[in-house]
This record gives sequence, structure tokens and C-alpha cells, in this order.
Amino acid sequence: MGRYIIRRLIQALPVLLGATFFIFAIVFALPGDPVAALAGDKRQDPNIVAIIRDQYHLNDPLLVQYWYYIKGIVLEGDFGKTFAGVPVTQLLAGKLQVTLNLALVALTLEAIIGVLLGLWAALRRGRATDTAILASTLLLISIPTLVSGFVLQLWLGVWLKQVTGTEFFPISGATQGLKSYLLPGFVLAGVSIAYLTRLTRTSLVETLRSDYIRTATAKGLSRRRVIGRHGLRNALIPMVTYLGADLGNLMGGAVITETIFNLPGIGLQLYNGVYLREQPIVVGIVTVLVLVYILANLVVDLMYAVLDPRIRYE
Amino acid sequence: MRVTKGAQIVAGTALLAVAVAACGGGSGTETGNSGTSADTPVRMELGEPQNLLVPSNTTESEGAETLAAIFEPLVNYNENKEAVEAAAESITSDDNKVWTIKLKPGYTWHNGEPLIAQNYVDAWNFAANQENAQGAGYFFGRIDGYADLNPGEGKTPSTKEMKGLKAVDDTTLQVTLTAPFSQFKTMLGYTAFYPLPKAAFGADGKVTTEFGEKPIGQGLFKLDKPYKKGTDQTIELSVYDKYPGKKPNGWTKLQFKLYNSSETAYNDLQGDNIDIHDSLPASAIASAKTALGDRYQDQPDAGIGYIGFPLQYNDEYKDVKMREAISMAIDRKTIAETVFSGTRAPADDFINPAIAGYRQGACAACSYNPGKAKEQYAAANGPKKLELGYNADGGHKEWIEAVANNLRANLGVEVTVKPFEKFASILDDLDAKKYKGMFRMGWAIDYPSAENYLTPIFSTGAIKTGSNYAGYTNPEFDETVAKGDQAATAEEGLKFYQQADDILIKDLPYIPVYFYRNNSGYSTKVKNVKINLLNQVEWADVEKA
Repeated sequence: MGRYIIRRLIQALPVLLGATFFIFAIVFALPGDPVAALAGDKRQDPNIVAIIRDQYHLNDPLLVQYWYYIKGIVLEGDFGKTFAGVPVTQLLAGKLQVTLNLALVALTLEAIIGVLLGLWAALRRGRATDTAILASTLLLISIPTLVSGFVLQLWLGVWLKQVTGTEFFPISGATQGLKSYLLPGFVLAGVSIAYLTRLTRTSLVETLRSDYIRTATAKGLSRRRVIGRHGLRNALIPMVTYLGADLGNLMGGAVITETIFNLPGIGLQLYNGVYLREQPIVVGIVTVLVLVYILANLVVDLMYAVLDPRIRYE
Repeated sequence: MRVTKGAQIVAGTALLAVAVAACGGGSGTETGNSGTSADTPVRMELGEPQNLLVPSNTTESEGAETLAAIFEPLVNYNENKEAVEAAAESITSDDNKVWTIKLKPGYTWHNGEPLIAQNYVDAWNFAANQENAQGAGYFFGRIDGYADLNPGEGKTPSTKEMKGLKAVDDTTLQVTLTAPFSQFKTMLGYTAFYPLPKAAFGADGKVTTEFGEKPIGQGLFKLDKPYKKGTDQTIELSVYDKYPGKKPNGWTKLQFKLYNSSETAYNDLQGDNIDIHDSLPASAIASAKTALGDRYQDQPDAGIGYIGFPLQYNDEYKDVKMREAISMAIDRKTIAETVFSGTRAPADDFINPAIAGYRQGACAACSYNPGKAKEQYAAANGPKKLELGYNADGGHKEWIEAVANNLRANLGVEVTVKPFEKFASILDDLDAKKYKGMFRMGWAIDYPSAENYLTPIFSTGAIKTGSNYAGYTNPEFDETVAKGDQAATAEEGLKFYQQADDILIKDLPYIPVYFYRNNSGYSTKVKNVKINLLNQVEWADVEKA
């Protein structure tokens, strides 16, 4: 087990290095001059443009620029600076925490609500409850985050506060701990909740038809034990896979939710980084996201062994 | 150069601009934290400042708003749009070339140092030196010796000081310009002209990062703690005890809350979580009028939006009559009211109403007259096909489409709308003479003088070094502006600038389409919120309600 984890982590290194270079090259290939993009609606003084370009090695070819970037990280632990002169590590440290919090809250909500709804629908298969749950997931899938975010912010943030006089869900900012993340977490998780509900339902319905379930029931086990130990546990594998991959999606896709709820996360930072062609920011964020994907996948793979004793890792 | 908002809020708002629903409606209620003690801060919406808080590198509104609270400028602007002395006792000149600035006594830096004339010399020399790559360095271009500090790409300046800049004694500053300029005093209220204390500079003579995070000013507020860009969600300030000017009555703490989206900030304003929002989103204007009532304010903002022509290399647009026809075919009023929900006003001059020198209705061809437009366009034998370019990243699509529809309907021509990825891409194509169509253009002022709508955009010299993207050149215009620059007083100068404005109206190198408006609102907890010419709140006047 230990060796397996170490081997997986070593395998991740070339993936990380490849990802940084790939992203670096993509940002490099974007059209337009990054320095000019800073200026707004006015032509910049060519002297100053030249000096900034020189400072950030923008006149060098791609490989040389990449070499400077990697050299800075390896030799000095320096992940580069933004055009505003702020070190990328400082910029991202706080923001990553916010996005990670948001994604984890979303993932937890997704897991709890998704699994419960899916379970309920599977057990009431073909009846009114099942249909109602399926219909509401369809609704969740079809409402874009942009709409659900603003509508819930207005209803639960502004109106509910007006009616009751107390603030249940803060409108914006990440200053009130877990409370700040509940509403945005739900909005972010919306579509995933719907998918997970459907996945759980299908997976469970299929499992419940298996021979071993019939055997378990015939043995006289209680319904709770049949569904919990024999049914749900076996049905969990596709769900865990989905959840693992979703952590990365939630972190990478949080830009709209973060903007609506004014959470200072990496989403908008990434968007701005791409817009202004600030390679250190984009590469830094994407590298972290790649790392999250790799770790989440590792955890998912390890979870398989926990869920299904037949799976062993050396 | 001033972009209207920090990159962050522009990006955030652009992202959310896709939102179909206007998310306004409803009005605010009391929050849990009641009480109006002096310690409860007045809270204001702000976009994230683009750079560290160094005056000479701040050319966007959000950083400027923050710095304006911390620093006292040499001049302020009164309700008649005139520059009046603030940190300066007097600003005088006999020939508009050699200016003497006397400092008002009593100002000290937040670290206790007294404010001296040398602080201005140090700050301005630092800003103007090309090696420091300061975004607002060009503001000092009129001072004698600027060229020595800016020898050009790849060259090192031979000196670190402008010869036109001298501290005669601790309270007197003498500035010599390369040529007379009657509007010099109006320039001095801008962020770039703030002084810097000795403590700002490191051993290498450059402004330190620590200073950029916690600037020491000589103004009304001092920063409570360093502002960590990217991490902090608020900027906290409190009134500086030894500030000699007018202080706010009944409150001492100010908090800027950083937002990515002005829609979200508007929801927070309704929830009484912030007190002042000075850039209400277009989607909220309709509901803000009813929800906020008297607490909603709408006033001119000095920006202008134009349609430009590549006059320099495309002869298709050479005929003034044809440009006039295009101008008359644009229904500015409907565009301002419908497309912009009233956050813009129809333009009728090359000078904005926020600035002294504006004349209502000066531009006759700017009023909507589809009948005459069609006639005149046909008579001038205008081209059957027109092209209209804009940058797709700035929320310009809707109004450009509206203009295109006006031209199609009123002139009977074929109009292609061409999106460019960024504003810089349009400029690149214009520089390379590759793009031959009309283009969207905008201007936000660097200093509140009518002259700023003329020289940087339309003078012959600005083709190479400024923002004259049309490549317009008219010796008569250049001469008239020069007469204004050399006039004995600012008022006399204004007369010449208006004459130059008349030349532009006759020649129409650009078509003015709209003037910006400033739409702001405040909560039930504050009153007497006034926003000045620079779109900054007059903090000393704000009272708690």
C-alpha cells in the first residue's frame, strides 16, 4: 500500500511538469501584448513598455521564458510575480484556501443530498416520489449557475433577511466562516447534485436486482442491512469515482459562483490571469488544480480497495 | 489612461453581464450590528486596486480612490469645476512657464515627518524616470528635463533629476515647463502629483514594496494595517489626528470592501452591508431609483465614447459631409436610454459636461436627423458598405450593434460589425494600417481641463506619441490649442480651447456618441454623500444618519 502510494506520487511528477509547460505554452500563444492589456484605452509610453517587457523577459523565446520560470521555482522557490509586483505565492495562498473551502462545502453538500435523494428515488422506483425527484434533478441541471446564484442570493440573502430581520445567509464575502460558504456551496454543487442523484439511483437500482441481494434477502437479513451493507456499498464505486473527479471540477469551475458571492478565490484570478496573459498566475493555479486532480484520483483508487475487498494494491 | 474600474471588477462584471435577469428589486433592512458609534466604519464598495498603492503607478479609478483618502492633493476641484488650493497655499506664474507652488503650513506625514517641498521633488523625479517604469510617468512630460529622464528604449538616463524641478526652500516648489501651459494648475489634483515621504524610498532610491502595501500619506486617513493585495477583502483606514483640514463629523473609521461584481455590491447595499456604492450596474439602475429614492445619485462623469475613422490612410472617409451624415444617423438618445439604461447621456460636444468649457448642443451634427442624414450621405456619394470594429471584451457589443442598425436603417447601407479580441488588437491593426473600417473609441480624462479632450486625441503630435488613432491633422487646430496653452489665465485659455472644439465639430475626425454618467447610491446609515469631479467621495462632508 505505502509503496503503491509512493509510486503513484512519483508518476505524478512528469504529469505536473508537462502540465506547467503545456499551460505556459498556451498562455504564450495567446494573441495580444500582455503589457498593452494593462493600459486600458490609452497608448502606453513605448519606453515603459520596453522596460516592463525586459523585466518580465517577455522578449525572450518561449523555452527561455519557461527556463526562467522553472529556474526561479527550483533554485529560489520563487513562483514569479504578477505585473503589479505581487508574488504569486502570496496572491494564491489566501485565495486557494477560499476556493478549497468552497469546493469542499459543495462536495459535502453534493455527497449528502445527492446520495440521499438517489437512495430515496431508487427505493421508490417507479412511484410518484421517484418521478418527482427525477423531474427536480432535470430542473437543477437546466438552470445555469449564473441564474441560480443571483436568484438565491436575492431570495435567501436579501429578502429573507428583510422578512425575518436576521441574516441566515451572508450576501457576499468569506468572513463569516462556514456560514459564508453554505449558499455559494449549494449553488456551485447544484448541477453535480442532480447528476449524483441520478447516478446513485441507477447504480443502486441495478445492484438491488443482483443475485446476491436476493440471496441476502432470502437469508432473512433485515431490509436495512440488505440495502446498506450489500446494496449501497456495492453501488458506491461509480459514485466515489464521480465525486473524486468532481472536486477538481468544482475548484476549476467556481469562477461564476465566486464572482456572484464575492468570494476571493482563484476562479476570477485565473480568468484575469488568462486575460492579462500573466503566465505565473495561470501556471500556478493550473498546477495546483492538476495536483488536486491527481490526489483526488489517488484517494478514489484507494477507496476502491476499502469498498471492494477483492481489489488489492501492491 | 484611466480605465474606469480595476481589471478585476471589469472582468467580473463582464463575466456576469451575460445574466439575463436584472437582479434588483426590494429594499434594504437593518442589519444585526446596529448603533452609529464613531467606531463603526463607513463602508464603501471598491474594485480591487490593480497595482500596489504607489501614486505614480496608479492610473485606474480604484487605486486612485484609495490613495485619495490617504493623500492630500495640491489642488481640489470645487463645484464650479475649478481647481482650488488644498495642500498648496498658492500656485502662481507670470508666464505660465515657471510656476511657483507655496505649500500650506501644518501638514505632516502619518509617520510624523513634516511635509516639505523636497518630498514633491523626490516623488516626481521618481515617477518621471523611465527606469522606474511608472504608469503615470507621462504626466510629467511638460516639465523641463523630462526628456533627460526618458532618453528612450535601451538607453540609460544621464541624470536622476529633472532640471525644471526645484525645492527653493522647505515650503516653496518651483516648476519650469518646456513651454507655457495655462492649465498646469488643473493637472495638479491628480494621483500622479502626490508627494512621497523620505520613508517611501529604499536604499536603491526606489519606492519599496512595504510602502506600496502601507503607503504613508499626509491626507485625511491613514491605513490601519498593510493592504495585502490578493488576500485582503477590505482596506481599513482611520482619521489622522493631525490632519489640518476639515475632518468628518461623528465618525473616524473608513472601510473599503473589495468586490468583483458591482451587481453583488448592489445586493449588499440593499442589505445595508455597505454604505456607499459609486458604480451601480446598468441592470440595477431602474430598480435603484425606486428602492433608494433620494439616496440614488446620477451625475456627469468625464468619459466620452466615440466612433472613429482611420482618416490617415482610408480616403473613403475623407468627405466631411459623409461623416456628418453618419453622425446624424445615430440615435444617441435611444442608445443612452435603452442600451445603457441611462448610465450614459447622448453626446453633443467634444468636451464633457463634467468639465468647464462644455457647451450644450455645440455639435449640430450630433442630433438625430435620419432624413437629412440619408440625403446628405447620398449627395456625398458615401460607400455602400461600412465596417465598424470594436473590442469584444469591454461590454461594447450592444451599443455598437445599435449604431450599426441605425446606419443600416437610416442610410440604407450594408454594415459589417467586426469584433476584436481586445482594445490593444484594434490599436495594433490601426498602427499597422491593416484595419480600414470605423472603430469604437473611448476617452477618460487625465486631468479636468477641456484641453485634455483635444491635444492627446486630435493634435498632430499625438499621432506618434499620443492617442490620435484617427491620424487627424489640422494646423489650424494645433495653433488654436497652442494659443490656449499660452494664454495668460486658465479662463482665457478656455476660450481658445472652445474655438479648437469648434474646429473639431466642423471636421468630425471622431463622432462623439455618448458621455458617461456616474450612478451611485448610499445606505440609510449615512447622508450628505457627495462625489467629486474625479469620481471620489468627499469624505469630510459625509455624516452618519
